[in-house]
Parts: sequence; C-alpha cells; structure tokens
Amino acid sequence: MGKIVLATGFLGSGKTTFIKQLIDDLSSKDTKIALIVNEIGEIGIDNLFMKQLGYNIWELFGGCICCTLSSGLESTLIQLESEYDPELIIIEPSGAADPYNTINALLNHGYPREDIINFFILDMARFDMFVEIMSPLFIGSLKQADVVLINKIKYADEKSLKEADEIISKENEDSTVINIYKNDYLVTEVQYLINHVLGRE
Amino acid sequence: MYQEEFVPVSFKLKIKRKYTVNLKYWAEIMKNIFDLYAEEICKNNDCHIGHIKALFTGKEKDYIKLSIIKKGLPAETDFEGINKYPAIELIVNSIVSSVDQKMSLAAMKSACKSLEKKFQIKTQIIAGTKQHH
Repeated sequence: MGKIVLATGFLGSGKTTFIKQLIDDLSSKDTKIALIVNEIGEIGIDNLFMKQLGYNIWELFGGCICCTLSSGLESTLIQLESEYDPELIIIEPSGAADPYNTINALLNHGYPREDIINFFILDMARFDMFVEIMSPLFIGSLKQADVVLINKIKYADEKSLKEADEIISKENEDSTVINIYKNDYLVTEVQYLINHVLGRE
Repeated sequence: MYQEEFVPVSFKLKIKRKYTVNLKYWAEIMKNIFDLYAEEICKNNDCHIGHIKALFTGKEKDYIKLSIIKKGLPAETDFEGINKYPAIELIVNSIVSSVDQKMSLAAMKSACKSLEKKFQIKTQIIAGTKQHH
C-alpha cells in the first residue's frame, strides 16, 4: 500500500496549487505518484487543469468522497493499488468535504493512520466566514489536520492571525503549523514531512 | 458538508476578437469580465463566494486559470504559453451561496455586454454544460 497525502481545505483555499507544487517536486525525485481528485460541479476544472499539464488523474464525480462517494474512493484505491502500485497517493477531496469522514474511509480500507498525512490549507482571506458561519467544518477540519498550512496571509490582519493561532492551539495543539508566504508551499518543513511519511529520512 | 448552500453552476463562455492576442491580454479580458460578474451576483445578495473559477486550455500546455474567492477581492489569474488566439472558450464553475443558474447566467450576460465595446469582443454563454467521461 502506498502512503497517503490528503490536501484538505475549503473551496478556493489553494489545494490544487499546493498539489501541483508537490507533484512537480516529487516527480523530479522519481516518486511514483497517483492523484485522486474529487470536485463538486458538473465540470471538473481542477481535473482538466492537471490533465492539461500532462498529469494522469483518477477522477471521482457525482458526489462527495466524504459521504456519497466513499465507496467510490475505496474502489478507486483498490484499482490503483492493483494496476499502478504507487508509492504515494495524493487525494484532493472537494472543498466541501468533511476530512473526518474521508480519513475514516481510508482507515476502513486498511490504511494505518500513521501512513496518512493530512495537510489542511487554511485560507486567511475568508477566516471571518469560517469562524462566523462555517464553524463546524472549520473546527472539524482543524481537529483532523496533521499540518495546518496558513495561506493567503496577505489578506489577513494581525488580529485574525492571532485569533487563528489561538483556535489552532485550542483545537489541535499537536498539529504542525506552517505559514505560507508568496504561494510557495514547498517550504523545507513540507518537504521534510513528505520525506518522513515516505520513509526517506 | 455545505453542499446544499454552495450549489455549483457550470457553463461555457466563448469570447471572440477580430485579431489574435496573447494569453496575457486574454487573461486581462477575463479578469475584467469576472470582476464585474462577481460584483453583479453579490450586488443584491447576502452571498458568500465558495469559489468562482474559469479555465481556458489551448494548444500544447497553454492555459489561463482564473479564481475569485471573496466579494471585493479581485480575480487572480495565472497563465502559461506563448501562442496567440483569436478566440477562447472557457469552462466556468461558479459556486456561490444563494445564487442559482438563472441568476448566474444573467450576471455573466450583463458583465459581458458591458465590456464588449471596450475590449472589442463578442461573447456567447452556453449553459448546462456537462463533462463526459
């Protein structure tokens, strides 16, 4: 079984950009990667974008992998493992998916929790919206995160950054928190964490 | 979660000019259209933008990607490629709370109409586009 990287976060938080950088970096190190994308909407723009860049994508359509498509995720994993045997499987759930259910689907499939690394991308441009009207998804996502990537910092004021820091500490003090400046996700800490999950220390 | 609040609307947008232009210029046209579109759909609404995104894919690995995530924040565009095009066809996914297909298409039509003269473009919106596998 390959190791799993989950890129979670609300719609538009920067999951696809993170994954693109991750794949570019890992491909240059000859890592055998598979990418599963679950997108809401009648047309999968992220899928088309990745395909345009030359990547092969396993798409999951017609629902959300955290609920209606969890069995679809499991059958895709079985197919991937038998036909491709990747070293690393990167999964991009839809921006409305609950990470708890997605991780449970992976655990039910037999992946040990330590073989899954969940990067939660926190979009600071909409921090107020997450706190005010989307608190269940926001807090639930934080609780499941192994790493919190704080993104779009340029749109946040000091007060929001401080509040975010306090909420993260309260809800998930064990998570690693990484601030992302200038859209550069592949800071040394991220590369170290990926190498760790791949057993390449 | 929140799939009921954030209902996706998908459509295609064709934009045509008399003369070919590079991707940078097309990205600028897209930015103007989508900034107006977002302003229009959020005008009389207590709406929250989930994600408005549009993609053009051209020859080889050419692309233009556009993204709007919040009312009042301008569209961000990203493009790669050196080819020039007389027309582009965009795939649009617009996920905005309390905005249905009818409202969305009306807003796009209005945005396009406002800018046709400025950028010397002709536009066509194709609703109800589905992806085939």
